[in-house]
Amino acid sequence: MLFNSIDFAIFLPIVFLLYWFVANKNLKLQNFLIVVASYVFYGWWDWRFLSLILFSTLVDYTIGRKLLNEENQTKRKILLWTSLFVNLGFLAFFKYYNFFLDNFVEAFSFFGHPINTQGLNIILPVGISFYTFQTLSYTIDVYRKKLEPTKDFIAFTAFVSFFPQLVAGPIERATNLLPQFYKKRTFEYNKAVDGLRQILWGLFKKIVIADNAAQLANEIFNNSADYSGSTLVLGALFFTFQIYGDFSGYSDIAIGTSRLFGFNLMQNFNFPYFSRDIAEFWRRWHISLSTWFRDYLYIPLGGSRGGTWMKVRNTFIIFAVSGFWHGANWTFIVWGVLNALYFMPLLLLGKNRINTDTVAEGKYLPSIREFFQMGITFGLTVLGWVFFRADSIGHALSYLSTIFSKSLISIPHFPQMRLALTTIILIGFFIIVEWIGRNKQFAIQDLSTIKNNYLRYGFYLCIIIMIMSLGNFNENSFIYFQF
Amino acid sequence: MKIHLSISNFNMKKFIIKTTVFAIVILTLLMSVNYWGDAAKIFHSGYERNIANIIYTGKNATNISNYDERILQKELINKIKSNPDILILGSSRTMLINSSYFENKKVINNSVSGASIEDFIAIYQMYKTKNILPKKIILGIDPWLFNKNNGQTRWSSLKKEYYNFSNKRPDKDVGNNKTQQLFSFSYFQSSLRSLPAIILGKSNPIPSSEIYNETNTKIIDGSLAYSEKYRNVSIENVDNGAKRYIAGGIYSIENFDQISPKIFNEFDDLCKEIQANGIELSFFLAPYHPIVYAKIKEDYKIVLKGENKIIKYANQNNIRIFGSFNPVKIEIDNFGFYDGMHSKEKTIQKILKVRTHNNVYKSLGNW
Repeated sequence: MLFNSIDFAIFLPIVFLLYWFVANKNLKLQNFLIVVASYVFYGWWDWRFLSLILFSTLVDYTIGRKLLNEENQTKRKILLWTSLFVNLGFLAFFKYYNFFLDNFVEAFSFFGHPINTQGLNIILPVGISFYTFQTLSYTIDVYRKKLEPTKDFIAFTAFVSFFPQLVAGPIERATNLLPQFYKKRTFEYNKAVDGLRQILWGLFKKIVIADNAAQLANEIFNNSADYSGSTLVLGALFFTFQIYGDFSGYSDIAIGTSRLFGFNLMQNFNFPYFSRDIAEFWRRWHISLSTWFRDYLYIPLGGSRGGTWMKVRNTFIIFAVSGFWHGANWTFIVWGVLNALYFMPLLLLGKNRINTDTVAEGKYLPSIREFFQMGITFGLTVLGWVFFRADSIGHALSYLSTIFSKSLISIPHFPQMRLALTTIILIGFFIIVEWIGRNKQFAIQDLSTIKNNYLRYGFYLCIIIMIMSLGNFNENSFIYFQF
Repeated sequence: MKIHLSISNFNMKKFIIKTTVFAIVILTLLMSVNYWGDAAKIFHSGYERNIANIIYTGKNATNISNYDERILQKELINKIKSNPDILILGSSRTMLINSSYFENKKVINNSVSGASIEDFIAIYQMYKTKNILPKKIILGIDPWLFNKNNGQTRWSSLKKEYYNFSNKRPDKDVGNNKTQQLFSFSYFQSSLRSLPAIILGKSNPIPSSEIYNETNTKIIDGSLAYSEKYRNVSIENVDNGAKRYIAGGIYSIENFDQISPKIFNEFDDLCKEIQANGIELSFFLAPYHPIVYAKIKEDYKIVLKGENKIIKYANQNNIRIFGSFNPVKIEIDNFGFYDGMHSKEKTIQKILKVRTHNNVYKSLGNW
């Protein structure tokens, strides 16, 4: 079920009313309702893959219970590896099997030993990368004795399958989300209103910004050979806003929906395009994934301990793995490595933690220095997105070579210029609102402080009318579902 | 505890009342614009009748847009009093075939956009019921005709006529289009654009003696003449349009995995019924733009299979075929198109073997 669908618009109020009016007396009933709602939500897409989630849930619940009473270190390790093997095994099979097979075949052919194999026609279960990482966080934290394993199977099932963030995150830590299932939720007006506000902003980002930008980015990327460098720059910019609007929009809707049910999820995007360097960008982009890799991969690899070489190696590993997590294609790996290269000078000069506050805090505009820092960081990010969006490395390279050709100095031109102009104006409005709200959890969170009801409701109405009149209602799927 | 609960209940009540009021305001706005703007004229049925009345008085109807083409066919057929010589049934790809191509013949073009087998059957049924069957029928066949996943539901405006053909009861799953559109956000956007013209009273069809006008014109024989802007499209924009057309999935054939046996049987029944009534039947296969056909050849091989099946069927049943989906086969280049799928008049004339003499079309097609 998509957040931007009529199905969800009907589903959400029904679950909300059942949750607060039927199941509100009993914690177990509330959790059970969440499980049922989550399985309906996921099964709406393809019920067959519910068995996969259920199996992961059973495995990790059982392993968690066994880890509780097991003091033998070797046996504990075997239990941990079992969980890793099962969860990452599913992920590897469904997501990476054909990729590895194709690359083996190509490698053998390259060395003069062609082999004949056929790939499998595998459907990638929606959100498998997200819930796999979420359940793994539980087992690893229990193994590390950072978290008491749960006895409550329903609460654990609800934690694994919690529908607002099941298919595209934020990837929650068991230490944050699971304990919330142990306490009975009571309705909080301000929290619920804040949730609705965040849902509204998420829908604006997705339906107005991302889906309109997507039409233009698709047109330009799919026919990149026909266009000038300046048009390709425009295409890359549209994709830059598409991916941000799409993914952060999803996160906003997920966090907002959770708040309606009394849950707090972690912030996943913290205005990343206002970053002054790449390190800051990565502290603000897909925070739940970056911190997951930091805690469960970078630190176990040794982190920044052990000298420069170790830091460099570990940084490249997590960026490459993070790229590969996004998809079974070399383009994602190159995108990850490219970001590691961007990051490297800051790491080696020890300047990767200088921009930790909000840019131009308390000011209307950034300083000239900050403006240039943001511009350069944004430009580097846009170039990186070309690899992310391109069909192949060759496509990305030819795209970039056209950008850096003489045709860069020309007026952009392509068939959908009218839509492009409308979208540019909308993106302009979007940037202004995001800039004003950049020190909040989401851009329009501060609207609650406007005491004048007419002004506040007028703004909500404006956003809703913009969504209704300028949005793209083709029920476009979210990009991150495929990851 | 009691106080806490009552505060919680009070807050919940406040939340529900506020969100409900807000939802009602939004829904009212949505429904009002959809109803009054009514981009496709599905809530205001007089529009199609207005067009039909203009045509009945012997004028062409211009300034027409977004109406239910199926309802218009019903209105037009209701006004026909004698048997036509030639009837054209097809989609927007055959809509430009007009009576001037057929000398001294009474021609009626009943093509409707995105035509499916149900449309063919329903329109044929209307002629049959009125006992005004034609002498010849040209069926415009599109690749999506045999695709059960073609996504075409517009025929439901003629569901009564369709089910009358085989004396079947209507399926329950034929959706209520009006209710869907009343709550549709996409429809809201189109209706919002129509609203100013409706408020200013500029949305009604206008009678015209000319065939070619600034806006689309429905000609007295039921065929269509494109707007000035569309007629004068540059070759660059035609090619770009073709590229855009294939950028996503191709219209109505994106989920075409097999030639539906059910639809083919219905098609066969219709053809047999037509021939059994002594009507001469021909198929018209409108070509695709070369860029689009290249994509079809590459990614939609089922379309090629479909064309072969149609050719075989026509040969077996003594049915004449004009044209091909393949533009190369009939020697048409990109100058022969308005966009990725719509042929220019000169392309249609070439396919139907029409020649011009002193600006009067002379058919070589032995009509």
